[in-house]
Amino acid sequence: MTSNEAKSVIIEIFQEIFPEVIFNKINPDRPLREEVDMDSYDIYRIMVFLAQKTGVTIPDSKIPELKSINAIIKYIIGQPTHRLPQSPDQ
Amino acid sequence: MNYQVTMPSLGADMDHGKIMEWKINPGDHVSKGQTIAVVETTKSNVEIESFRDGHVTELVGKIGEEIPVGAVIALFEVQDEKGGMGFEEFKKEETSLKKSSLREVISHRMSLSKKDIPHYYLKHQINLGPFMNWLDKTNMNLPPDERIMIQVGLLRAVVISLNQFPELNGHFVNDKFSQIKSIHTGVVMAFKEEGVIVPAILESQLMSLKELNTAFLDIIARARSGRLKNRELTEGTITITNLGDQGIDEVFGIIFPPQVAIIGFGKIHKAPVINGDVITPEFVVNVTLSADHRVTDGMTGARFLAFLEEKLMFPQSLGVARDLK
Repeated sequence: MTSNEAKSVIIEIFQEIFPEVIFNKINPDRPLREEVDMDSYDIYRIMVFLAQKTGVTIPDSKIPELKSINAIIKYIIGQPTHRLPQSPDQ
Repeated sequence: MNYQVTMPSLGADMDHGKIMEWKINPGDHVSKGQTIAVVETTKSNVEIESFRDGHVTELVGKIGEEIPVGAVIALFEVQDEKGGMGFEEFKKEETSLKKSSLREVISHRMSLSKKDIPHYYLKHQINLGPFMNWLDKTNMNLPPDERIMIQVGLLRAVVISLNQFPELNGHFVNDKFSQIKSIHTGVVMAFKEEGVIVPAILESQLMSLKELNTAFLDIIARARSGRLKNRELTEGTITITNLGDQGIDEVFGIIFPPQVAIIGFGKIHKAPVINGDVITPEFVVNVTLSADHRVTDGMTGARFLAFLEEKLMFPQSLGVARDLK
C-alpha cells in the first residue's frame, strides 16, 4: 500500500464517521484529537474501518503513539497486510 | 388490584411527553420489562416498558396528545405485591421537577446524593501491562468488526468483581439496602452539550466478553440517536465513569442514588513501575471507588479494588479468543 492509497482510505473513513469535517482543513502532523472533536468510540470505529479496508489491525497499545494522520499513514504502510479471520456465519 | 401507569420523567428537559404508538391493547397480558408504548420527548423517542406483570384494563393516554409527566396513561390489573420497587419513591420526586433542564435534574440529583449519602473514597493504581498485551493478542485474532473495546475489557473485569462483592450492587431506599442479583451496569456518557446520560447495560452479569462488547457498542449508538429504553435509564445498579478520553488522571464520582457505589477510571497511560530493582515504563490506570458508608466500609471497598486488580493482572479470566461466545 502506498502513502497516497492509505491517505485515500483515511479520507473515506472520515467521510463516513465525521461527515461534517472538511478533511483538507485537518493538519496531518498535529494530534488528531486536537484537530477533530472525537472520543474513544470514534477512535474505535476508525480502527475497525482501517482494518477492514487496509487489512492492518492497529493494536490498542500502539494507538497512543499514533497521534497524527501522518503517523497513522506511516504505520499502515509499514505493516504487512495479512489475511484476517472472517466472521463465522451464525 | 388497579395499577396506574403514568407518563414517566425521563430526566431530560421533560415536563410532558407525547404517545406516538401503543404497543399493547386492552385485554392483553403484559410482562414486566415489555415495551408498552413509544413516547416522544423534546429530544428523542423513547420506548417505555412495564414495571409490572398484569393485564391491560384501559389505555387512557391518546396518541398524539401532549401528556404531563406523572399523569395516568394506562390502567392495569396486577397482583398485590409486598414492598414493590422502592425507587419509585425516588422517581416521584423527579417527576415533580417540571420544566427542568437536564442540567437542573442532574444538579438536584447530585445535591441529594452529596447531602444524604455518606461517601467514602478509595483510589488504586493498577498495572495494565498484562491487560493491554492480552487485549492486543485477542483483537489480532478477531475479525475487525468483533474487535473488543478497551472500556469493555475494563467493564468486564468490574462486572466479574461485583459478582464477588454484591454489597456494592443494589439500591438503598427507605433506610434499607436491597442487594440486587442482576448487575445493570450504568455507563456515564456525555449527552450533547448539556450534561451526561447514564444508560445501563441490563443483566451484564449474564454476558460473555463478546456479548458485552456488542451491548456496549449498541448502547452508545442508541444513546447518540436517542433510542434508549426507559429501563436502561432508571434501573442501573452500579455506575462506571471513565474520564480517560478527556486525559484526566483519576475521577472520584458522586454516587447516583439509589445506587451505593460508583467506580471511576482515569486515562490509561505509561508510567514508571518498579519491578524488583528495575524501573520500566508500563501502562497503568488509576481506578477509584466512591461508596456509601451506610452499606459498606473501606475494608470491603479495598478488597473489591484488590480483586479487580487481580482480574486485570490475569486477564485470561476475562475471556479467551477461541471461547468467546
